[in-house]
Amino acid sequence: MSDRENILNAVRKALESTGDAKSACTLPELSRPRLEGTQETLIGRFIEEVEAVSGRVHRLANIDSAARQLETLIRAGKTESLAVSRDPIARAISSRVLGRHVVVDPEDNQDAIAEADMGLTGVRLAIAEHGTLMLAPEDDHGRLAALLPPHHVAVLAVSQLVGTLAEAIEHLASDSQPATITFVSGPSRTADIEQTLVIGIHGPALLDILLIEDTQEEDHPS
Amino acid sequence: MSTIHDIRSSHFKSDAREAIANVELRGALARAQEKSNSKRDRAIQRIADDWESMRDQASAIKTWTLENLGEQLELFERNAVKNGIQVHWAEDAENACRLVNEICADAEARSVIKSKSMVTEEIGLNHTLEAAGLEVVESDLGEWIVQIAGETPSHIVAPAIHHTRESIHRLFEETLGRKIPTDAESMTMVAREVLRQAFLRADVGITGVNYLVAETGSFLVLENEGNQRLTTSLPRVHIAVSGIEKIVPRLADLDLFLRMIGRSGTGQVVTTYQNLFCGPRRSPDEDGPRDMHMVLVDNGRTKLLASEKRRQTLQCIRCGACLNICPVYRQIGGHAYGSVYPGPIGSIFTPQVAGLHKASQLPFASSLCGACKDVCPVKIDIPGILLDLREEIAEHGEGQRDQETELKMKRESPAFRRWSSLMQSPRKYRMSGALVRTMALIASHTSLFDRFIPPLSAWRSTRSVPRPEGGSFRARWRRRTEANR
Repeated sequence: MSDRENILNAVRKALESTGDAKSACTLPELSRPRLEGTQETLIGRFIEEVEAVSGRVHRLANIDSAARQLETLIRAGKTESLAVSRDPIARAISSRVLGRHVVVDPEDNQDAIAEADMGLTGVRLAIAEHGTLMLAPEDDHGRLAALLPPHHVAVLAVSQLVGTLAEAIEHLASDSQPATITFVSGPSRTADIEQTLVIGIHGPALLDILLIEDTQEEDHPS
Repeated sequence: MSTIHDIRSSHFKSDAREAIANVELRGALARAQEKSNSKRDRAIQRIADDWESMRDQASAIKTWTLENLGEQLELFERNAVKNGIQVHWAEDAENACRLVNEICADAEARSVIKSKSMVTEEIGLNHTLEAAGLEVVESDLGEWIVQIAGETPSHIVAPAIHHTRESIHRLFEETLGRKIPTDAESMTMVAREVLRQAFLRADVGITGVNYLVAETGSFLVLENEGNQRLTTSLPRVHIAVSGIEKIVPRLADLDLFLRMIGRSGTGQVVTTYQNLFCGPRRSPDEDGPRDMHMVLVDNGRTKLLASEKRRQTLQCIRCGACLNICPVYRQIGGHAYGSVYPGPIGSIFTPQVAGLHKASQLPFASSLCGACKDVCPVKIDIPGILLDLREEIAEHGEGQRDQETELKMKRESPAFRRWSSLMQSPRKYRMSGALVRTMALIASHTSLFDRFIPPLSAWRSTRSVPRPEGGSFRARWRRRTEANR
């Protein structure tokens, strides 16, 4: 007999031996927590939670102001190369800073992304209650750009913000499931040496979120 | 045969004695426990009103799932296969290791990168892979520290909790053969550099599993460092290894468990990264593993299902809260338990999985204070199961006890018989009380006589004797009632 049959038989036999206890137990209904309040409350909570785990949120009116913010981050971090995912908003923003910085396309090999100083990607959703980004790499081919460079900049439209993890999971259940989903709450961290918190071990050490009110592209970018 | 790799729990007594004598270790443990407990308390404080009902729900979901384990596992398998995940079953540690080895051989792998996984420690996977000539690198910082130290983890969440910054620094300099700065941040960055190269050359990535989701055939794994994201993004093949009990029925159940496990384990609201895997890379995505394998491991777990009480052991979500609160763990640390699963949960898991004869001292390694039960997010009755195991060892354990336990039984049974006869006669009870008070009074002034009389001498070697004051309880009670009259 195969291991599969042996295990399933052993499970069945063990559970039968305890008799009728099974009928008494039902699977509990889940409470589905919601956040009360306006969109402004959601945004406030999101920013507070991201900052509590050492991330930063920049509230921006539109693509142009997001591009200016990206410029500032690039200058502050002395960034020389930028890996950009195929997220349309990320592309629109990076195109405004292009020419002065090297843009690594994810179609290039992994080494180029590994050497980039900064990765710019989109997100599927963001969750206010825990300050979480929900990344679905196959949406924008941003898996490595969000992971290998020491600085991750994520682009998020205000309309992508939901209140709770339960709501995010409901979204996930209604869509077809992507191959990988990564929930990100803050930059990479460890406390394995005497419980001393160190930010940035294997994943990005810096997490900046560009939270954009209006992601419509202008016809004539300034 | 189910077994736990490198088990040496039959040396518990001597290992524990050695650990207690290690002042540096006890200092490290006390600091770590205090820090993690206060972080946990703060994290739970914010949702204090809901915490108890969340525990009830989590426990009920786990109970239901274990009672329907066969169907849930088959459902998971069906859905996972639909998602393109190759599902394998392993009855014991040996078969699980063989399966993983075969997958690596088929992939013509030379280098394996791992993210922290307790079940792979349990089955001794690294050992098998290395014997087959593969390079195996642990990528979680704590796991890497214990790997290069040639040790096993001493805590299920914080593997290197027994190390000090100085001992880690020594280890890094010896291993890397160069001078490095002594602060935690610089040492962490050195580890990042070294391990990044290991990620880039790895052919296979191996992870554990926190939750298998039956209804979607996907699985979720938690981490903070990003090493698991790298483990599952860069290599061509991802192999996940999971105990069969790690299953939940619904995707929506994750919400509840994710809100609890971070708070319970590390005092985080949620862990930094939570990775949900639903299959290998799909065209046109060009990143991520081409093949994804799931190895479902029994290794003795089905034995635990036959008793409703003991079955609770399998509800464990491996948060480590019971280790952090345990007064015994605080004194002796993880290694003394002689199993990769130490602390209260280890004291019930290890003997049931590896066999009582391999770990008959562990159920006694507890004061039954119940703190573990109070903090357990899925409400496992750890003290109850400890007692149940003690009873089995005492009543039916003939031939299942190691030497140490056998000796303990021989010494204790006559003592308890005498105790029982004393407790049944008021006269004898009064006399024995007076005798004990006198002896304790002498013992608190001098070590002359308890030094030579076992078991007093053993007890006295690590403790001071309290000095009795004010006569017996009965005498004091009499005085009090007379005074009040």
